[in-house]
Amino acid sequence: MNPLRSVLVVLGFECRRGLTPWRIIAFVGMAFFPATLGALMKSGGAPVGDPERWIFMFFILIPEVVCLLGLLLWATPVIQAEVEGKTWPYLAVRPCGKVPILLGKYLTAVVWTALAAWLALGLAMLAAPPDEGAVRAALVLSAIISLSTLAYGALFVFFGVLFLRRAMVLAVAYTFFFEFMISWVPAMVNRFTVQYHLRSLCAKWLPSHYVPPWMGRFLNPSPWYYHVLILLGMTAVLLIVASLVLRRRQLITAPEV
Amino acid sequence: MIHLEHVTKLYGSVIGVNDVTMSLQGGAYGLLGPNGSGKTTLLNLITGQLCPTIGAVRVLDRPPMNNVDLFRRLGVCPERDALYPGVTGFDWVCYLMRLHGFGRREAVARTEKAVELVGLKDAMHRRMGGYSRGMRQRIKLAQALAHGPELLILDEPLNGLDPIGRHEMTEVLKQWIRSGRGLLFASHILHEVEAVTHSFMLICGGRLLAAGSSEEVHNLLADVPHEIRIRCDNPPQLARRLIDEGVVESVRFAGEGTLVLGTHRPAAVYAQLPQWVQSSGVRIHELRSSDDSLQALFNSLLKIHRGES
Repeated sequence: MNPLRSVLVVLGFECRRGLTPWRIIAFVGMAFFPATLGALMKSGGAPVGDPERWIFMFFILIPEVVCLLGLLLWATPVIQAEVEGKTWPYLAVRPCGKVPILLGKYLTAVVWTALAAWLALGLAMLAAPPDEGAVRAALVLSAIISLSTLAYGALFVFFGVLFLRRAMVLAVAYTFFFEFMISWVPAMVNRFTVQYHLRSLCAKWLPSHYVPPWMGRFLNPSPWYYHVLILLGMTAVLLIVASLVLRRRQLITAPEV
Repeated sequence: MIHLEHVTKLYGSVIGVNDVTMSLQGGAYGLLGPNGSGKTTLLNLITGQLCPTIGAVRVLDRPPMNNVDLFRRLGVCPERDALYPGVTGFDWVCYLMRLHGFGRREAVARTEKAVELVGLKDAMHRRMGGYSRGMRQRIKLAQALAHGPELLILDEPLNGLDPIGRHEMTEVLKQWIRSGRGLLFASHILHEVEAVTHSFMLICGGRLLAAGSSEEVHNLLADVPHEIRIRCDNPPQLARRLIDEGVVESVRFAGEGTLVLGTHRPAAVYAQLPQWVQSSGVRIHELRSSDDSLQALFNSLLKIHRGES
């Protein structure tokens, strides 16, 4: 049996299943939030179009807030929801195995989040574009969004498989402490965070006047492919470990025994 | 078909299954035990969802944990009927068939056939959130049957079905057995299992207490009185009639309007009761047969197993 086909079957089914009013509202909210904020600031007279301010604001709002929020909601509970909903036993006895199911669900979370983030970026470009180099800025942020969803998605799926209870709380705590605090510590430890590499890539790919001078000490001067490889490597390692854990785990909850 | 060798499953310090050894050749078997007896744990071990703490499990000559070759030959219907509420029954079964490796067209054909077999064709395009308990049981059975497995493992598959539904599903299972394929059917209700198969295994407290034919189980049950609770408008009159007929060993008045009968011949009571009620003019509001007789049997078997009697 072709595992890739199974992954695509899960992706297709989960995307259709995800078309619920609650998820659509969350999707729309996430997509419109950055543009609305930009438009409000612009109408208030703030110089949002200034490249330094623009990238600072929309890098935080889109690849960070939108992607993190979307993946926290949709990637962290992929297995937990099946186990708590008692639907896992129906999936666990399929010959495709557990790993394609996990990967299909991971891809579903990535697709939903990336679509919301790309839409948010498009709307932000319409509502509050940068004063110059709008196309390049949009392309760079699009690429950052892709890498952000892949890496954070893998991280949250890993949390979801490792901790079946309170996975989301732990993922939020981890994100707040490591991705928002440790990633800004100018020491070796920040290299283990996703945000550090995304930030460095953003600075690499954008013209220098987009990057505030004070940011220099929080960036890595390595070439862009180093960061891309690190991010993709982190994604692969996290997904492999999550798959191995899932294969070995006995996901039967107490009332079922 | 299924081999368990000194299998024990511990959940921390709690024993789910205790030193079970059994070897089932092809055919149909009923796994009978009260709620919490370890049936579901045993089935989870057999379907590879749990790993034994001690011992070894082999199903169709393979260890079941993460065994994709085995899963292709296994149909599983878990006890819980929690399903995706926003998905139609058809889409769900079709999705599971696609996870079995069938192409879209084949998955659709198999789904339609299975859904028709369990009598849910009219409702297959409705969302499962709107299904009754009986409909959920039917769709669960459909997903277990649709890929044409060699061995079907069912955990309380008739729960929540109305009498007609029970009869229909029982017929489906009988047809399954006639086709020569394997069946392991867990239930806590004796007559449910008996309607499908005559080979029993009795489990209680995580231990496999006895195995045999339905006749042997009935012989064991004969020593244990069956309790029937009747709520009616005139308990003394009904009690007098039942004593006159000589089918009850004990009669007890339990609260207002409630009569509790003890009998070794429950079938005779159930068969004759409508006639007696009609002739005596007593109105029955509620009739309940407790599982206590079966529980009493399990308790005595447990004592024998522990060497206490």
